[in-house]
Amino acid sequence: MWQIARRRMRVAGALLSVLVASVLVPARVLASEPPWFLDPASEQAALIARLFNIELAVAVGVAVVIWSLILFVVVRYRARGDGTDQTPKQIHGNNALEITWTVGTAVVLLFIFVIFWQTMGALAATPAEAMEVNVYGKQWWWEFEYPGYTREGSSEPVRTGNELYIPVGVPVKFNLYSDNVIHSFWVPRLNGKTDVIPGQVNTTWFQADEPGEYYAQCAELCGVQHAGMRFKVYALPQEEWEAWIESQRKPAVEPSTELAQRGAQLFLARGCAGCHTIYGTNAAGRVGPDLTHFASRNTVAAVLPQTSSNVGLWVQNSDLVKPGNIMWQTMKNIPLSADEVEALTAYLLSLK
Amino acid sequence: MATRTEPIARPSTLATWWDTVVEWATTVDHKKVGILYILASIVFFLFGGIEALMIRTQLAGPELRFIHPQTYNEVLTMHGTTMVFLVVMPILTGFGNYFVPLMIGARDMAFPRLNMLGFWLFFFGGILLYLSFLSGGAPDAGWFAYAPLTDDTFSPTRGMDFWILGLTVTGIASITGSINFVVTILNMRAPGMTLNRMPIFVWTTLVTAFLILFAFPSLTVATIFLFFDRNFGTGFYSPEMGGTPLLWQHLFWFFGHPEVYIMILPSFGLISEMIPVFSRKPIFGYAAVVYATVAIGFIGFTVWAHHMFAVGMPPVVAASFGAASMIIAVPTAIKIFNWVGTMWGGSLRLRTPMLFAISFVAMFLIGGLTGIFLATVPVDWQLTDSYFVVAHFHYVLFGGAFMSILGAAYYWFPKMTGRMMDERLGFWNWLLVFVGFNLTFFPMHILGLDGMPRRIATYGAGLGWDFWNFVSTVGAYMIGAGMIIFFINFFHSLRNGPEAGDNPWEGWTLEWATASPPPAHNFDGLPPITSRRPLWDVKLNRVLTPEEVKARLVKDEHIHLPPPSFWPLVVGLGVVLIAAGMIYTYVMTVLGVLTWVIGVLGWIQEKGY
Repeated sequence: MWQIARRRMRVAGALLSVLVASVLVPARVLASEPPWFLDPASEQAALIARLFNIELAVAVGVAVVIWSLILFVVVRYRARGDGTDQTPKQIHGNNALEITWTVGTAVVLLFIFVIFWQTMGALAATPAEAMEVNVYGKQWWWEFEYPGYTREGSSEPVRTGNELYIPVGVPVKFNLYSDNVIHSFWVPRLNGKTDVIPGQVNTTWFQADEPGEYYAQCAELCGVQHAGMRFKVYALPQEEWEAWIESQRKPAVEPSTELAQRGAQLFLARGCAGCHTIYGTNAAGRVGPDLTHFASRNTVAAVLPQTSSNVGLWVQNSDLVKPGNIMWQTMKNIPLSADEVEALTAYLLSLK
Repeated sequence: MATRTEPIARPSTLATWWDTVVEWATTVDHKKVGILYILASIVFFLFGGIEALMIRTQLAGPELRFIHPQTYNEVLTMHGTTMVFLVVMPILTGFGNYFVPLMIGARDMAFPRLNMLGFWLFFFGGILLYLSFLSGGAPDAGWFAYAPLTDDTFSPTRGMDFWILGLTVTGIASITGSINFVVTILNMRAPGMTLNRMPIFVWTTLVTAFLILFAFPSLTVATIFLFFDRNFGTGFYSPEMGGTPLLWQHLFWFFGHPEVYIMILPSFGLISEMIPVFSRKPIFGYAAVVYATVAIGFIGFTVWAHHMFAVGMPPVVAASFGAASMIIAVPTAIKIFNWVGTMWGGSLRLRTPMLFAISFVAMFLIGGLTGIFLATVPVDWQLTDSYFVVAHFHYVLFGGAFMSILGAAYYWFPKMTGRMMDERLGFWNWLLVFVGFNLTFFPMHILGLDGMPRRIATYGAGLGWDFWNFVSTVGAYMIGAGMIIFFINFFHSLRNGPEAGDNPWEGWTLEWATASPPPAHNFDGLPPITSRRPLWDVKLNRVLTPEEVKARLVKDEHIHLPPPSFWPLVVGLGVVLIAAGMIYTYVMTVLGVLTWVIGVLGWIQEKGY
């Protein structure tokens, strides 16, 4: 009576095998291309991945040993027969064993600590020659400011939103600012997290070793649209990056089509300029993202591909895209007609 | 032995129904208080479980719109808060209330009315917290409520105020409960029940009580500061006014990390009761297990900043907290080895409680190992606030604490109700929960490594996160199915389960030395206590034959039991009215103060104690 019926044991075995199989199916086969930090693209991320892999090896080793012990014990020592009371030998403990596993655990931990400490040392200092980028965590988007690069004919630095362009092979130092809540700056394949905390300026840095797009998003709960606070890092070869920053320093292009010109007027007339800057025009708001070179970006609000229908959707009904976003608090009171939306879209998409 | 009674008498008329309500509302019997704690926790568990399923449904696929992100944040906050403060903690307190006095051979807790006051405060505090859903919005800043997201600028509904006041009220309950446990365990043990012979569950409850006494004040201070910031214009957490958001994090985690041990140490205790009984062997290395418990209690207060490695602290400080966190792995490993040692060479009876107990050891192991990853600072920079952390703490709190609670439910149900739970249903309950749990939470490790942050209301397609999220959601519903089986088993067995007898599992701690359910006075008499396993000694005729024990039982003709009292209810109502009035209207606060004063006056003049 102390045993589980054999049939139930078999069903359990089958279900457990399904479980194990489903967990062991390699994640990389099924996943398209997650921002997997174990595929590092920088020195720091590689050091962290190395530490992780060592720990993983130790952890898997420990788990296999202890699970094997448990399995062995369950199979070997389960009560047999019809439940007549079997009284095993009454053992109360063994000091030699206690000391062995206490010291053994401590030694394994010490080994991990040594590598952890070495990794800390290797990660510590920001190189003095690093290029600086100021990062502002907003609700719920990222602003990137290049203090070394001003707009042509102005002392204002180049600013972008939700897309961070950096040169490959150059260390970049990030100064993290928030004037609202706490956010966390995290580009998994380039480096770990650093929190963006109001009232203090944290810094972090990384150097992308290879050109590419690196997915990132805010990692600290920061309000309704925490999930929408995404960004991408574009690491460009040095020359391409310099061409990019030169283009960003220029003022916005004049709209050439009639529709886009009407959009430009609407942009000023319907209040957009109160929050957004388009350098070279009278729009100089600092609440929302800088739109000077909006059309050079790949997304709308970091979540939609930049197509004209998506731009129109965002302008007219941003709450459908990112429910709870702050622009909507104003825009819901500014009804736009379909052709106004069309004109604004045309204007925004002309801002190469 | 006392006559066996139905645990909850089925009312036949309105009058008897009312009598039952009055009986339970005024009881000061530690067993009834324990049952009330457990039943209320089960109700809150249903809420927390539904919230969990809402979260998993929303995340079943990319860019789903099952619930609004604001609702998602509220549900997420309430899921965490509920499971920590209104389910795991109180249900363990409930087991402690019921079984600690029985296990040490006492008649009741040291302060029976304080005990009942603790229940009322926990229950009313939980209700106050849930009233937020009906009063403009639940708290929405996550269970650790980082400032300044909790500020009235960024969280303008009254939700956070409900959270603050609800937790403050339940916090008083935890403090009163802890004082009661400490005094009971230190002063009310039966003759022969030395500290060195106490069941390990009693030890872990004792250590946990001390942890609560030292950790909760920090939470109370933090939440009261926050209440002042939100309502009276102070700026403890506001950088513009000279405060700092990090103050919240230090105060919160100085409570919050010991809180983890507050939830897991009693679970260690439960496991340390079940594994020996179902292995037919004493616990291996009793002293080592007890020392490890106390060590975790102390070291647990030195690791709080490991939740904050990404806030920009100096590397040496971070590494020190990391090292302290790694040291905790030593006493934890000692426990795991001792549990395996207990089973080694035993005669394992694989009944439902044992299935859960063995699962606990295997699953908690994963939670412990992933904890080492998170203690090493550079790896933590990658993993903190990712789904890896969600996986980690669910392996500790679900694979650990919750498994032990389910095991203990099966283990002690016969003692509490006089009836056995069904083994077949118990097996399916275990299997579904075990498989569902792993399907839900193991993939979260992979999602975390894949770069998925926690607490996001949705995620983009094409990031490679879809598959594992879907698996996780399937697992969550499997857990739900497993828990439905638990409840079917529970209600079915309550009426139809076979009679349990005094000691169905052939246990050896003192709760099995009395009837099931035990009479109001707990014991007609106690066997002599000369070792850690009094009933084992009786059984093996080491001490006395059962007949001799019966003959020698001291029959106390005048057992003094505390009479029922209304005053804990009145005092509890007063406190919760004071708190609710801070949100609704100060008239309520004034009424609350009056109620409280009346309650206290009634309490101190009451005769019979």
